[in-house]
Amino acid sequence: MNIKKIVFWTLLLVVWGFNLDALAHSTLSSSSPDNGAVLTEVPDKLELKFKSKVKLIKVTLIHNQENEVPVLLESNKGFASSFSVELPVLNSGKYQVSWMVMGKDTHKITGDFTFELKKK
Amino acid sequence: MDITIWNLVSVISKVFLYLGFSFLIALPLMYIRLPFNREWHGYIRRLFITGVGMAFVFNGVYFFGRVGSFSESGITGLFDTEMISLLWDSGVGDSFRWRLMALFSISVAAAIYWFSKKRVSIAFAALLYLGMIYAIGLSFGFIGHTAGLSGWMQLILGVHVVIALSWIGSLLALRHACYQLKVEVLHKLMNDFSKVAQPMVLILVGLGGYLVYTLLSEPQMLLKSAYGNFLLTKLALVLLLLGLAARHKLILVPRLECDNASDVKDVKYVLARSIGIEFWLAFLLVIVTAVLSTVVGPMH
Repeated sequence: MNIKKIVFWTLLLVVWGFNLDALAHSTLSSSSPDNGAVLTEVPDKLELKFKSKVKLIKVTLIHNQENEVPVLLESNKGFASSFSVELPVLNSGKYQVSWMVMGKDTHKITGDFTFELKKK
Repeated sequence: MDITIWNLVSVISKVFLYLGFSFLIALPLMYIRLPFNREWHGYIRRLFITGVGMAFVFNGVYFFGRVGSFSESGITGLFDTEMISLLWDSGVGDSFRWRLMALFSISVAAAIYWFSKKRVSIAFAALLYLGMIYAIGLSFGFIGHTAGLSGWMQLILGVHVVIALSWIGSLLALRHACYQLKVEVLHKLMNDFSKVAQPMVLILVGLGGYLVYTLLSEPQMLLKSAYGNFLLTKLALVLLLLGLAARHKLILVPRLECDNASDVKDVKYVLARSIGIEFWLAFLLVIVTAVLSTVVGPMH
């Protein structure tokens, strides 16, 4: 095998074969509601704390794996280690929160967690 | 799957962008260094123009690739105006703009050099060339793992990158010189290159070592983390490249001085092949570096 082929296959294997994104950057250190939490009170805010300063790009909230609940992000584009996102009035059910941030090195970092709301 | 496709776009665009920049940094110096030779200078000129085109195209591909990656809406995400605006205001945008300035600067410098032989014009072209080097070095500080660190670290990274690119960018021209230049001229070129390369390689390796020391929290991370493993791969490639460079300097180049014409022809051929291998190893090193700065990191 000549060196051109070695270069080509290395590129392909390294970038495509291994999903290195799984080795995420600065991740979420805590959230409110917490991952897996079962709530009886309706939360009015979503709080996200990261291990280092990041820029919050996107938050999506999915209700019972079907409906996307609209979440409005503030137009603040700065870097911070904690973010508070206003929530609309939520109904009972299971929620999945997916977030996307940009690290200071401009890399994209994503993650998600779930919580359940059981209204009294 | 979408994520890995955008990673592939990022890595490929970085590889060709870096290769383009390597030609732009190295070739002008080689072009003016030697007495005119139609074949060789023509080759350098074509390689240089390819470098400008490649850097221009892949600078755009990298920026819009990042837009697509953040947009997460497939190919239409490339035109997501909200994400374009967001990335324009980030380090990705800063780096994109500095690289555009570098390309503009070197294009003007080349045009001045080719169309005017006045001393003042050439001095201005040289100034623009230095401006390009500054802009390229600076552009690396906005993205990747030294972003957010001190200005001192970014200066170290910039110098490290510029030296590495100048080395890589000179290899194809040196390889071609083995086929096109007379043996006396080739011998002089190789010796001159070696004189400049020796201190530069020391600085390159020293600064690279310091960057690794600063970015890795503990030495064990070299073995434990994906980032460390990629760094070790990079180190192995650097050692191979240094071995080849030593072979050229200590064994092959001195043999160019022998009296037998057929032996000299053989040595020129072996040297050309060996420099060709050095180029492909350097290309592999660029790929590893692009992966290192795109999909893995010290904080991972």
